[in-house]
Amino acid sequence: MKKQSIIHTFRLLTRNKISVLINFFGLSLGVAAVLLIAVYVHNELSTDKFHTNYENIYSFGATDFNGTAFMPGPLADLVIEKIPDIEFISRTDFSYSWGLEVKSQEENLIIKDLIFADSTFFRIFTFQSLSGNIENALAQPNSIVITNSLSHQLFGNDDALGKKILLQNKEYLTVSAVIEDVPANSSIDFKGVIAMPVLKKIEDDDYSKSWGNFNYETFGTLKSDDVKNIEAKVNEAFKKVQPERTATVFSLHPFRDIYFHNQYNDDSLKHGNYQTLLFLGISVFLIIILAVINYVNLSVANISGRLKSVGIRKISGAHKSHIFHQFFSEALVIVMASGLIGLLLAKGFLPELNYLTSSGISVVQLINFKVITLILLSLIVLAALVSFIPFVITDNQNLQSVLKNQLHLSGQKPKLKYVFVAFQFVITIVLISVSISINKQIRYIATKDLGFNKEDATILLYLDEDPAQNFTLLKNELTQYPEIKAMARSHSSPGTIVMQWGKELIFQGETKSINFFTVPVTPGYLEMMGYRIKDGRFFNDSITTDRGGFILNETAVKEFGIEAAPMEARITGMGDDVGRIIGVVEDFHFQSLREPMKPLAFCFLPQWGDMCSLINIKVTSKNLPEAKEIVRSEFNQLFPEKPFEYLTINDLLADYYKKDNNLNKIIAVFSLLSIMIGCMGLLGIINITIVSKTKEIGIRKVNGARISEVLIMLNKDFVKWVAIAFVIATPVAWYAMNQWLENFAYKTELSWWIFALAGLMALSIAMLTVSWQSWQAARRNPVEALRNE
Amino acid sequence: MIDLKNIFKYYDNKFQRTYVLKVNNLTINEGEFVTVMGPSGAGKSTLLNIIGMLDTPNEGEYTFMDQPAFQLKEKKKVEFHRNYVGFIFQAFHLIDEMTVAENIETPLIYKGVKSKERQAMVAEMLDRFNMVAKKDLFPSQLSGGQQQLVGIARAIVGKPKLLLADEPTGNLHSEQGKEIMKLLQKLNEEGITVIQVTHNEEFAAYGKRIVRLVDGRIESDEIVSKIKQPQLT
Repeated sequence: MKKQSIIHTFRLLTRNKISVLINFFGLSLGVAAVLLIAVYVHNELSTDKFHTNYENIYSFGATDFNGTAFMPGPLADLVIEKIPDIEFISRTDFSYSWGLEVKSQEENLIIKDLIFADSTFFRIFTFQSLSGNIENALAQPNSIVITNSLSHQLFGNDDALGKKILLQNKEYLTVSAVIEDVPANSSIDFKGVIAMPVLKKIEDDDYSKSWGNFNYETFGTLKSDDVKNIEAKVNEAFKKVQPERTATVFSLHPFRDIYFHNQYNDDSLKHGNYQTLLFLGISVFLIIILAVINYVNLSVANISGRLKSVGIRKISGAHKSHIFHQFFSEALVIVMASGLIGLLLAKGFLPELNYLTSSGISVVQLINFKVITLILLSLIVLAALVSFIPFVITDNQNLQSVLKNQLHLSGQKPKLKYVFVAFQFVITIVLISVSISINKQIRYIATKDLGFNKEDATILLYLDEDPAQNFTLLKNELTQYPEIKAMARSHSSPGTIVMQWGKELIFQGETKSINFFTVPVTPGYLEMMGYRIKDGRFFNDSITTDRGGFILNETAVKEFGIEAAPMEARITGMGDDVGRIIGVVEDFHFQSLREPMKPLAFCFLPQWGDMCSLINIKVTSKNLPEAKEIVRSEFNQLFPEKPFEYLTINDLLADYYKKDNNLNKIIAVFSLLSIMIGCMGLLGIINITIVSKTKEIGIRKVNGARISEVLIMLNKDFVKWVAIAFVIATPVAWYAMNQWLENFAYKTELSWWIFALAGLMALSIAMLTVSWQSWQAARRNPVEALRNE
Repeated sequence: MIDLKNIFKYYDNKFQRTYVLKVNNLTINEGEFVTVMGPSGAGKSTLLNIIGMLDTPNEGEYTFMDQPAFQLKEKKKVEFHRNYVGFIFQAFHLIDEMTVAENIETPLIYKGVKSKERQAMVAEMLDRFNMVAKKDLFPSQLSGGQQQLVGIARAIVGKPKLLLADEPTGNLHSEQGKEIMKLLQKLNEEGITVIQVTHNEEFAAYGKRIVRLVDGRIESDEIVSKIKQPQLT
């Protein structure tokens, strides 16, 4: 019996090729989409859970700088001494992740993503050791723990344990452990961890002494979960050692919350977006609903063709269960085949997903016993559900009308299929609107005036040793080339500006504390980069009083309350020096457009030792590839020992919007998918409708109707429902996009034409689909249509 | 075998009641060959459908083999169809996606007959109707007469006691029609009760009893006289 029904199912399927293919295609895509998004969501939600102490790890926060995740160095030592409730505590320093010079054998390489941490780091966070004792690894002096990949990069296949490397041409480090690469779903990412005390030798500064330098993200494990109490104790102990810092209050934040809901946005951890997850989850849910609706719609529409065979079987003695079995096995075959294809599609697109979401999901996560079992079960339930509806409908028919192939449905039912089509179009219109809106925002970001020259490309590279001298050497060589427009030195650039200072401002007799982002520069830099002076002037090297001076952005002026006469203000707090305000520049975007404008000051501090080791090289965009090569070769000639690493400002800025761009791509794919499924559903329904209206069309034509009139008759109904879909979809899309745009301090408008365009596109697609099919029907010879009466 | 009492079927339309069937009394015994005749709309098919439990009247009693037919539950009805009744239709009603052999096999599958036995019974039918060569063809590949033969084969493969035929020759030309009627006669001689509905006077004469319906009521109920019976060849 089983074998028979499978054979019959196949025969049935081959007879209804179009419907079957439509269903099949839609379902497979739906399954693939669901699988990929489900595994992604699951992966996101599993972030950091691999740490043994996951529930117990906390990160420190402070109120300075409007809230920061960076702590002063001495805090950790204070806590160890005074707060027994905190079991382990570790400082970390991520600020060298852009690159450190490392020499392992012959070559001097620049290694990115090296961090510094206290010896307790690996007691707080759990990483798998491949060789060496991980718990004590960083306790050894001058030690470094490296990941497997870094080990291969530096030492090939040799065991790295015990080997030495030279850091920044200054210190020798010993590899005390090799660990597995950091898992893709870890919010903390690094290639190696260097023992904290090494930092003192690299920086000529003792982090354990200075309470004013908020530089170190600090993590700890607690012995109890009485967080408030422990916070209070920390602040109490702090007051005793630093009673004058009254504004500083420390707090503890659960590490498990940081990935999705970070308190401070200046931390160095990876973050996920709940909103995006929700978005993706809902979108994929909608797509699957589309595919299922299609399937049910088509099955129901196809019923009249099945009635006869059902009737005959009943007459031949079939029981209800046999009839259900027939529908069920048919559904099962399609659903299972779709599931299989869907699984294969998902596997094929996994790399794309990983790229678009910056994840590292492995094939094993996607295809394993648990997942397969889950899929099988869901598919079986799905098959049962979709076969139930046609079964119930046929079962309720009178046997005799069944044999005459007459379907007696109550008046409402025919409307139902239009409702389903309308629902599909609601989803489609929403997705199209969303896609257009996101695109609009992305183009807004790409074309927005940032407040400095970004048409020209800027190559950035660091010269840490003797920056002033080496800069002059490099400049002498490079300016001979026409491709190189100009060069200047600064501390940082839009895209890397993170340094913040807290100082005192004196204005019209009053003194107040201020916080601001700060960028030490050399004269000429600001002009070269195209900043626009609003008040005052740029730094002038020959004017001695310019030294130690500041140029503020408009927001700084506003926030400091010195709009009346900005040039009268003075900034103190740097030893004996008093800084004048030399000028005011127009606000410019040095952070992502998601952020509101923050106060920033450029400063000119030749007497403070040279903080400007970033070389900015301006070239015209079209000459960029040649310019890169020129810089590379000149650099290598001048500094053969130094490895050559560079970035461009555009790369840095692009990085801000990588996530948004990728989200855009995903939504675009979903829109396309839903359009396809929606069209296929529409095609299917039209086919059925036309078949059932064949007689009517024939009669109309015989009575003189023109083809255009027949087309209008067929299109009319669908157009009405697409219009209804539009009315429902637009507010939904508007609301969703409004919510998403709230994330951006600088955003584009949600113009009315976005939604009109989406509606128009949906309508055109509907009408095209309907017309294409009905054109053939309308053209057919009426005799043909009426012959089979 | 079949006993119908006060079978009324009607449709109510606002203030009017239209009677489709008004049969006060009809008894058919085992082994009979009854033809139900009458003009279009007389209620012949309705009567047949009621006998075959494809339809139910608004009022009345129907006793089939001493069982009250209308009180039967779904399961019993299914049994009824499986074990006692075979149907033949004007439009053949074969399942298009099944081969000839599979079509014939269908009632046996639902009866739970084992595979080997089924094949034997189907083979017997194919042989009897000289269709062995056609057993793997699909209905669309057969002529009208052949399709009807398959329909009959399916109807009788389960050895039913009662054969209901609704205009079995309606879609066939006269030669094919005669063949079918002769076959029905033969089956009747083998012991199967046959009730057929037809317009055709000539084919009606193949039966032994003619019941004429007009406007839903039995007009006449006569035994076919021996003189009118055509010769069996």
